[in-house]
Amino acid sequence: MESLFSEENQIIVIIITAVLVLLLMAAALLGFFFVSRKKIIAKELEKKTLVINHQKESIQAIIVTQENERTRIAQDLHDDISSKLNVINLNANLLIDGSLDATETLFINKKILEITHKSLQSARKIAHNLLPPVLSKLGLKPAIEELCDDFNSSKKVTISYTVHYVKESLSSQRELHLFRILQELINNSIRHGKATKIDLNFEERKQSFIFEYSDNGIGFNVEETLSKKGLGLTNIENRVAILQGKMHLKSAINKGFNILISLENESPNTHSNYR
Amino acid sequence: MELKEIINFIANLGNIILVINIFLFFKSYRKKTVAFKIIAFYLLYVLVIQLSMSYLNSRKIPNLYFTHFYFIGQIIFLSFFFLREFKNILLSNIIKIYLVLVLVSLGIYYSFLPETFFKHNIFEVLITSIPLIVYSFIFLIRRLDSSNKKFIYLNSGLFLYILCSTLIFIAGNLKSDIKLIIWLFNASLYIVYQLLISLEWYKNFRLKKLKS
Repeated sequence: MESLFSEENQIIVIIITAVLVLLLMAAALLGFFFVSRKKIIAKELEKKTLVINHQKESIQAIIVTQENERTRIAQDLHDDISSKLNVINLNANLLIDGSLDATETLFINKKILEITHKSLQSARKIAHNLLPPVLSKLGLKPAIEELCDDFNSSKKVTISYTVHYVKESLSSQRELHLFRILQELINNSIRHGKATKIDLNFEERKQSFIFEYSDNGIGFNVEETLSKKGLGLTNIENRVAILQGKMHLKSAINKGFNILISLENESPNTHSNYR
Repeated sequence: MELKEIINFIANLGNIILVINIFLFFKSYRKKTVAFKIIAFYLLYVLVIQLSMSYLNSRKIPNLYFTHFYFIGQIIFLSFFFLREFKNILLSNIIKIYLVLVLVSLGIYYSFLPETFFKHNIFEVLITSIPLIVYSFIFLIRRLDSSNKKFIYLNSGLFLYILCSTLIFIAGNLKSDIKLIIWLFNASLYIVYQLLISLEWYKNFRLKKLKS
């Protein structure tokens, strides 16, 4: 027993204890490392899943919009142009048959001219709806004014607007997005909101653009609607995201609807062209 | 002498696992990263040292100076390994500078005091082991929020083994019968280290069959 407590042995006992303590601490540290790592990675995965889900929703919205738009264009072409071309075709066949007298031929000729004229108008209208020429030719301000005036002349709704915008302050791409947002908003106000009055205010400030829009429609519960976003709202949200802007919605049932979109002023060399 | 036999048995078991690990690492050697190949050669190097030491021991020839090769070789191999794994320029520079400093200072030390070459050198143990603990710890912290799982088991083993074995090797100069308990500890920890290296290979580097 005596030798066990000699000085050297005491040191060894201390060292054994120290090694044990170190071992315990190292093991605890490693345990902590593996547990934390698992948690952190689970959190990151969750975040990424959220982002991916959001992207999926956006892509879905884009596809649905595209399909709707295609259906609309197909319908327009079928109703307005194909039917008229059919009539022209029939009349032209009558002319080829040659069993008609002079007055009848003249009548059919006139009819063909008239229908051709109408189809031209329809074609122009369809093209205009797809991309208003005024937007690409004259810029955003006249395009907004024309759009509002068109709705005003339909007497369904009164749009009062103030637009302070210097031509080409925004790239044509961004102008188009803003214009589409306005179209979507007006459509929503009339179709879903049953609005009769719309106020629009678009102005350019030192560093930013402020786009404010409100209507007197039936309104909706913002939280509820945002959680199950309709297509229109998702579209607007996506476009605002592309514009790198911020949007703020305000609405309540029977209290109308208000949206505020603010955009940062971009540097002039990022202009791109859709024309 | 019973304790000594147990220690020998455990140490031999550790060496067997080391041989298995070397076999596994060289089996999947091709198409692997440089870091993986460095580890494979590090394991082979450790085995060569172990075998030479046992051989000399069995012939009753002093083998203590082989510990210098072990510690110096270990810091060279593992420094290169960490250099490969750390993408941070500052860290890489620190590792490079430190490695050069260690080699130069040990070179000067042994050229001026050549007689110490045949003795156990605590100074050498300290300057070659402590930085490895620090590197290994930094490695673990950097892997904390990364989905990259490569080498985390190996590093856990390295951290555990070097942390405890440094203290054991510092006590290496003590002469006493119960000192053997410390070597029992060391041999057992060595097995844990080698098992974690096997786990590393199994989890991250074995040839995975494609799930159909």
